[in-house]
Amino acid sequence: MIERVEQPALEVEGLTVTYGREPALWNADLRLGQGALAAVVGPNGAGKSTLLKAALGVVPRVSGRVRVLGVDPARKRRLVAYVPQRSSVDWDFPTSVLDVVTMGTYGRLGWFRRPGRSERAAAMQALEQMEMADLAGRQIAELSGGQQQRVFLARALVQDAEVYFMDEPFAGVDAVTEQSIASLMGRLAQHGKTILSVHHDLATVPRYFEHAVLLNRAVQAVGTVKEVFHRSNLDRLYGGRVPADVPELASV
Amino acid sequence: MIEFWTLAIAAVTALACALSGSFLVLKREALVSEGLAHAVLPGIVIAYALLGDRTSPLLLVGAAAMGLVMILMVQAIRRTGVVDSTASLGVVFPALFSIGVLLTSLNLAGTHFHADCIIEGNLALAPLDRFVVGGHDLGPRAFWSVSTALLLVCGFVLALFKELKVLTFDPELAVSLGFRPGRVHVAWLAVVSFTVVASFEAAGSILVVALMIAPPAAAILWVDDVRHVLGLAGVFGLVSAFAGHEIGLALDIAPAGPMATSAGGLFLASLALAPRGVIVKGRAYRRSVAQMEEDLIAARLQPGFPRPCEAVRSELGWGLRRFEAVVARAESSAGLVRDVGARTLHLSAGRGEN
Repeated sequence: MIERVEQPALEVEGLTVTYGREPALWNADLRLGQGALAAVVGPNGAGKSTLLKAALGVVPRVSGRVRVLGVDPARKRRLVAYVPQRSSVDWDFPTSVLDVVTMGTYGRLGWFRRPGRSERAAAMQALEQMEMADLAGRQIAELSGGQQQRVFLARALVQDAEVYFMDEPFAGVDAVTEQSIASLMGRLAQHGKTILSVHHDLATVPRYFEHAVLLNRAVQAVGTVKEVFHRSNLDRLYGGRVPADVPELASV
Repeated sequence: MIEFWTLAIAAVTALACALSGSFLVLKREALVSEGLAHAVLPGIVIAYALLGDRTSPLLLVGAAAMGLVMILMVQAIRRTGVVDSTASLGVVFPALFSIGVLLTSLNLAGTHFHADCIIEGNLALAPLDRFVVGGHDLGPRAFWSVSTALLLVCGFVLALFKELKVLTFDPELAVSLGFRPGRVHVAWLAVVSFTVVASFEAAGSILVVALMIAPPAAAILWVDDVRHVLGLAGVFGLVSAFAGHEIGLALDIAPAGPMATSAGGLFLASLALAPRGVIVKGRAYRRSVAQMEEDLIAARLQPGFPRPCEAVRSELGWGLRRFEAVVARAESSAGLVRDVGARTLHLSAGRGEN
């Protein structure tokens, strides 16, 4: 892939995180160009979610530096958007779909200011993009899993960020939703947005992503799917346990 | 006049507690209020011992600060992951409370608390303790302290409503948006702690907990927007205060008990009657099962082709009694016809396949 600008969209250097005795993430380095559509893959406990959370500052770092378009995202939050795992929130919380999506505008609003008409209009637009406009007034408790995921994506869209961190956006959604999430990611990447998404299903990596980050505490490889997503790397990543029938593995 | 002040103190206390408890209930941390109600006791006693002046507003601030420190310590213990969250509350707060009781029993620096007051406050006597500034009687001291708490709570919620909402619903998103949920949370707990301390004298530890948890827990069953939860919780709090006060007068007992009972009663009534309550849900469930039962029988029959009852029953795996009940219902509503000997079933001609 030809980088459109010299400056990487996302630059992570020496990111290390620990929750206990062992490091959850060790000295992780990675660089992604603008418009990169990257899957983070690796075994359970490899630190995939931790990589996202540490890059966002949600969990404390032992060491490391993160730059988005050359800027520390902690100083300019508008550059990043986060799609957490669906299970990370209480879906019985008394609020509507539109209200949750409007939360994506809170960062732009800053402290004290309340969302107004233009924020709700932006949220509505994002819901339309996710084909969820008819559910705007719905209680979030009444949503299906796929709808919950699309609400989270709409909320990230409203943020109009440069880099999108997504934690398993395809987890537990049906085929139709999977398709609409994949096409949304593609559109974002086409518009020069960068996506780093934790992904479990190895079989669909080549179909949905252009880049792959192979992670097992440390980053083992970063590059285009063609370059790094092949059997020898994956066997090493998963300790030789990758099923032989994972289709579409690049044959390098 | 004393009547009026008793009621005013009760009403303001109930309102402040209901509003500050709402976000705890929404965050599924309702027991933090229980913890605070216990943790502030040693705070009050120690602050009193240090200040020696029962009328000083600093007493409230000092005790609230100690309550806050205690709750932060518990959260720190919880974060270590060594003790689970409910256990850390259960271990620490009774211990703190007992230290408070111990200090009170030792009559440290002549504190005026009695064990009874700690449990259920002393609302009846609160109006007699006046707030006098420069010779002017400004009304009961307790009224001023709970009003201050109410103002703090309202001010905080009005100024930081959206921040409180996002950090309650999705703290990780709040961080990624650049808010500092940790600081907002601590500031909010400081306000809650102050509310607990201010309410403590009038309401006592049990009533504070009841007024903080029951009204919002009941409100959530009726409405589905955070704003409305706050509003309705406030209304429920006020109703509990008035009802408790009236019951107390009628029975000639202290109002704290009846207030807590009213709050609990409102919750139970909501649990039964609200749209998300057990009666509505249960009825909807039973109705849909009944409809399905009739449809299931109908789906196994065609107009004009009788089938043996036993065959249909065994396909459905129903007991005889259930089968008879459903058939009896469906005969009147779904056009099901049983032959004279009650051996076979068929659908009346008017009914197509369903």
